[in-house]
Amino acid sequence: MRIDVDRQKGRPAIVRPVGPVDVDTASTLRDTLRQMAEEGGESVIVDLGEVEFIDSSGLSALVSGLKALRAKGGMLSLSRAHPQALTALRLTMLDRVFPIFPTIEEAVKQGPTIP
Amino acid sequence: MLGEAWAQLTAGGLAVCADGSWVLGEAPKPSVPAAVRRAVDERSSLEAHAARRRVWWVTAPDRAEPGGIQMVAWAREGRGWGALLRGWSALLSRVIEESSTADGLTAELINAWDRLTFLYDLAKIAGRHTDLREMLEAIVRLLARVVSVQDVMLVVARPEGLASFTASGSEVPLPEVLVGSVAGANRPLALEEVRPALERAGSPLAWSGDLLVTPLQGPGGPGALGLVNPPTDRFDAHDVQLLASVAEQVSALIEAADTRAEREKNQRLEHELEIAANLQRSLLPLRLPEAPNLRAAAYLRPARRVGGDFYDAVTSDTGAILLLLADVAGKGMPAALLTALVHAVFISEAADRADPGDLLQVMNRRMFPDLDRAETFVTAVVIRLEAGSPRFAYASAGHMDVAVWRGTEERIEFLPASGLPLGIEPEAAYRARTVPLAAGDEVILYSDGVTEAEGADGTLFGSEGLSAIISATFPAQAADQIRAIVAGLDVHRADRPLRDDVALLLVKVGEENGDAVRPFVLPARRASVSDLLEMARQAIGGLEFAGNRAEPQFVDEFVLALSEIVTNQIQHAYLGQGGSIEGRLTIGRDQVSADLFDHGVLFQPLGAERPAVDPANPPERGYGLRLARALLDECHYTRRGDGRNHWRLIKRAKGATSP
Repeated sequence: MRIDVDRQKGRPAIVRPVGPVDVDTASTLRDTLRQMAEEGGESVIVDLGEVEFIDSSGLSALVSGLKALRAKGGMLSLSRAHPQALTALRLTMLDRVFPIFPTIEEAVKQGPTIP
Repeated sequence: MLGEAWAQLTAGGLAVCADGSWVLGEAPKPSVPAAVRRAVDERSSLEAHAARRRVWWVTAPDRAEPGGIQMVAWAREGRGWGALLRGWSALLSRVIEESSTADGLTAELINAWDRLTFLYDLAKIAGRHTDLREMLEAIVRLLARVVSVQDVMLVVARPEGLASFTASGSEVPLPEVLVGSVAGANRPLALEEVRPALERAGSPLAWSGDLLVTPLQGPGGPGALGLVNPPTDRFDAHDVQLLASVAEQVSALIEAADTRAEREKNQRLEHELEIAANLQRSLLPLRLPEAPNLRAAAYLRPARRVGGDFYDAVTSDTGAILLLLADVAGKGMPAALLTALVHAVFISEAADRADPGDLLQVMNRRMFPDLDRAETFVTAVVIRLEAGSPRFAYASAGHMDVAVWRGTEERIEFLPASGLPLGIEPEAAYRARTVPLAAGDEVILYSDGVTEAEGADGTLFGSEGLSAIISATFPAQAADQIRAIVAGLDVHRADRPLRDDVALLLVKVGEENGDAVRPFVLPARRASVSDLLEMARQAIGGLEFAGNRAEPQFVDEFVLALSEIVTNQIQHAYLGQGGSIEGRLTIGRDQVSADLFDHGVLFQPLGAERPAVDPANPPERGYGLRLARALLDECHYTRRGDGRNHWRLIKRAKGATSP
């Protein structure tokens, strides 16, 4: 898995993991999100469009990133999740925790809101 | 001679020019190209010049003033022969250095030519003789002929002591004195230089007409090479130079011969071992006998190329199956030789003997003299099974306990030995025991290489390790279970070398189970999980439930659940410290299940009750089990009485009703 980070003025940063987010790779995602929280309380969209598989470690990394960003006044939302990821989010009830958008545009437009 | 060597190497020719005219070797055919002619006339060099479908070289003259020599050579192809040619040219000119008169040149040149040829011959001798002694004898004879001395003496240090060679065939007088006389020197010494040492020790060589001795640095220690009594009064500078270069070559040749001998010896041993290993494999039964309701599989792996563990099988005249597993004390070739004896005696005695105890008794009596002489013994176990019989008989000559898996009760029994090892007591008696056997039972014979396999922390695999794998993989097929046991041993040993031979033999009673059971054993490391998941994906992917192929989503969900549980075992049961996870996948008519066992700590079921996730403060961990439970129809955890954790995962196909 690799992680692309796309920062543009006037909208949340987009973090795009490419490849499976599992027990081997989840820590990289966790570290990236925590690092972004450290650098300032920005809001982040994690784009799951290139993630065909996510396991519980991946979910943990997302929750960990969410908490770190929230603590700094930021927020984390998800976009383009595959059915496998949606199932995993639903079964763990995390679909109630993350704002989930079908496209990046909608995620940007709706804007991450602090619940 | 040198010309011949060159011609052989290059398919070309070689000549020597002095002052612009050919003095040695034939003039080149076809006629000399202009560039070559010019180089000779102008006394300049020419490097790999292509002309007349040949490649040409002319070496620079060995000195500036008239009288210098040049070598002219030609070859069919220009394969870097230039360097070789320059080496020869340098040698040649060094030998004739002192002669400056044109008159003496030709004679000197012939002399030098002979000596160069000699060095070439030396290399040829080394290639021809595989025996070092013969090679050195040939060298001293050749050297004596080339320099026309009365005798040549060669003393070399060998592992067994100093070895001496002379051209005349006479003894080298006091060889250690000759070696001592040049000790510490790095060049040939003249008679006057070594005479005091020779005289002191009383060596008759001190009173030779003339003597030239050089030290020899052989692989076995210092030696010496000496020329005795030249055709003229005294040895000259050419002789000194020649002797020094010969000594250097002889040292190198001895070293090369030793290396070659060592390599050949190793190759021979390797070859013999290969033959022995093949022979030993050929003694094993091609296939184990089978009968209705009886399925057998076996495995043998020697710690070295060959070993003392062995199994065998015979079907008796009455149709009974006799299986033997034996362990000759010791390892490697000595033990392997005796397995052939065990095989021969077993085969000849087993067919008409109904009682395993009688069989061991007669085998002991027959093999006793040989085992006694070899000062060794054999542990062996024999079982006798009959198709349809509700029992089996066994007798054991000091061998490891026989393991019996009781399939319906899912527990294992160990049956002890009933007598002394074979080869201890010629009249030893062995009593057979009859043991009940039901469908679903298994009988497992094994050698101590299984139970005594040592793990990284020094723990033994033990009968517990064997039981754990059998219970985790039952009711897989016999061959699959054997493979799982072997995999379990590999995981337990964790890449440490096999210290003892391993033999295994497993017999299953009853029809093959209708369900497909895929056993597995894997090291509790993240890296090995993907292998298990891939195996599960393969096994389930092609499945049909009630006529429908398993949906990709079904496969994905089961594999994700499996991944979460195995990861949980690695991280929580073993705390990431490694260990082994064994179990089985069972493919049913409309469901898939997995049974996973580990030997780690008790699982603390965090979040087992699945409280609702608080969106304002979601937990950072604990999603694995939630996920697995949500994906599966059933997910049970049990802490077993034997200290193992057991996870049972079941996922039913859509439409299947829970039992």
